[in-house]
Amino acid sequence: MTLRLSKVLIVATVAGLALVGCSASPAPAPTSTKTTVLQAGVAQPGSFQGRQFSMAANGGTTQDVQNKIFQDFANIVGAQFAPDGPPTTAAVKAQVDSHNVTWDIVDAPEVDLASGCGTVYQKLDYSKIDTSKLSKLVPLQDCGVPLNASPWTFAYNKDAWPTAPTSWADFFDLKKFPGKRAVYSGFPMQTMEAALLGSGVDPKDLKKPDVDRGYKELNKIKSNLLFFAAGSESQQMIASNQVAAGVFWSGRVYTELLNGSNWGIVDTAPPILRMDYWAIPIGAKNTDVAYAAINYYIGAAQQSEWQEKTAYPSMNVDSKPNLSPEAKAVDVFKSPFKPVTIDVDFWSSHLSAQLDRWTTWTSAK
Amino acid sequence: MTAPALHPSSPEAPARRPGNRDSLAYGLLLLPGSLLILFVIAYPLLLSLWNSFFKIEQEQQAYAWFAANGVYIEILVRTLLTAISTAIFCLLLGYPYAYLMVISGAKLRGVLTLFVLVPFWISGLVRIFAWVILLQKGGPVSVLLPFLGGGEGLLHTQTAVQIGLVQVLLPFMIIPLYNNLRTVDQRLMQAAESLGARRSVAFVRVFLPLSAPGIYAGTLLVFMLTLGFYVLPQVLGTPLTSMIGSVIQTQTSQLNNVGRAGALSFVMLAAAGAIVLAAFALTRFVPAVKRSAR
Repeated sequence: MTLRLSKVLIVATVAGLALVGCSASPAPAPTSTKTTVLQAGVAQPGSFQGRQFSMAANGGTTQDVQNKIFQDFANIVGAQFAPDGPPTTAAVKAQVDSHNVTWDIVDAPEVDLASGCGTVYQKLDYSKIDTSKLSKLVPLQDCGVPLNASPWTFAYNKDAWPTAPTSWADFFDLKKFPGKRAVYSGFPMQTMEAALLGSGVDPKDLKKPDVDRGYKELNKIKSNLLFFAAGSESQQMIASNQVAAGVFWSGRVYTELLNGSNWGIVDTAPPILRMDYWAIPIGAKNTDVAYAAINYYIGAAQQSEWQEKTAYPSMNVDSKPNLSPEAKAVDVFKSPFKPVTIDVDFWSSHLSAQLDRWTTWTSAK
Repeated sequence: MTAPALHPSSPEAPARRPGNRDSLAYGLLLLPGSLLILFVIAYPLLLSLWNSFFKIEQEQQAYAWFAANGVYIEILVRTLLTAISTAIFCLLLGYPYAYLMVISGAKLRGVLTLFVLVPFWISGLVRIFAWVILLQKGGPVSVLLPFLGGGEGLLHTQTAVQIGLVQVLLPFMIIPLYNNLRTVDQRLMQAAESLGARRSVAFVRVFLPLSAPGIYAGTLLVFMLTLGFYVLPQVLGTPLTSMIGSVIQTQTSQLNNVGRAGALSFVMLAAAGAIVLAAFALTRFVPAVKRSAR
């Protein structure tokens, strides 16, 4: 019995090695030599017959939808699709450094992507991806195609404040709007931009952020500040009204609106987007499939499905998602919302020192 | 057990001494475990040590960076103090519990054992969030015991972190303690009492010293395990209560600063080792323990 089992194992291992050997061969697949790129959202039936590709993302309901879209693509082109995760920067870097890359597509956060562009992640050839319909609100990166914009919004408890706040300045005004606030503890990005907007910085002037000014603004509310370390924790704060307001992720607010919380989002306070990108690690074995899959993923219909199921904004301007009132309340790409993005170059080149400073600030009374 | 025991503290027959051939067999049995430790623990540890000294990140040597940022020393001290207090609270709560398990009948012991083991069947995160709901403002604890936390609830305080840690780690104190306490011969207490000692004196002079190995094992286990916690202190506490694990995690998975993460880990390992050695040295001066540790 054990003998037979070990034989099976050997055969399976050899077969596996052979497969890896095949897919690792540098010969480009015929499709990648085409000069015209398919329209975003379109895949050529049978074009990757017998091929395989894998994708790593961060789990939860968002990955359920991502898996479904990539599986649809795999079914059309005849490839095998293997979902996996989570693709922490350290994990991707370890794969790239050891020349044993098992992921073809990974979900990379904006700052990590900028830091690892060209060393961990491939510089993308944009002649292979139709980016013409991507929203202008979401910046492309050299190494990544936008997959999600998680809006960090000014959310507040309507019972605590009968007069609705109207701007980020109100978030930092304890006299006009008393009560506890919550912000994310993990890193200073986005929260810092909210503080700068609160202090009166023009939304167009968030390049090279004046961090000193931001901390000065944050100090104004420090006595009433709580921190959350995870999204689920922020949801719990909303559900039990532990705070009057917070810099909360719109997806979490959306879930709590569905659960019946009497909370609102200040639509005139610009949401600060935290971008995630599809990236291809250096040394990925199925780069050609990855390009085609990403091109399919950003199609209008696919992005409608994404927004309908997650309430996170569609990346494609042609999407016409069918949204519930709660999902419309967090649809931050629509007027009157005016979302902004952070200066990724600044944060990626100063991240270590800025995290030291943030840790020092959050750990002091 | 029918023959009268000659030596009261070891009622069982002494174990057979292993011969030469046996020790070879034992050596072979040790081999897989030793190889695993060598490759999975020793090698990465040495690699981290190397990185912590020789990897320059952001143009700075890792220990220089650590020394230049006072906040990390603060977090390190807090982590060690939290680990010590958790070990003490677990001992104070776990010892009577383990003692009760030893002296109770089979049925009650079964129930008590079940209570210790049930938490292991529940996901750690679920237990943390259960404490969030219990301790938050307006939650059961703040309603039933309003004098705690001054009306704001205990959540996001060091007390909440302490409660959570003690609850999660209590089984790691009780199980080694119980294993030790049940080997202590109960008749020694009777012997002490028959010689005129009060029950409390008999307990302190006879039973307690004999349970020292269990106390060491449980305390050490809880102390070391507490050092590694980082989600619980963040969720039940605030950045003001965060522990070294979260900083190490940030340095490794967010910043890829393996040198700095190594430096943090080794400073902590050294500090924890020093505390454990100091504790052992201290017990040499406690006469009762000294006698039992012949």
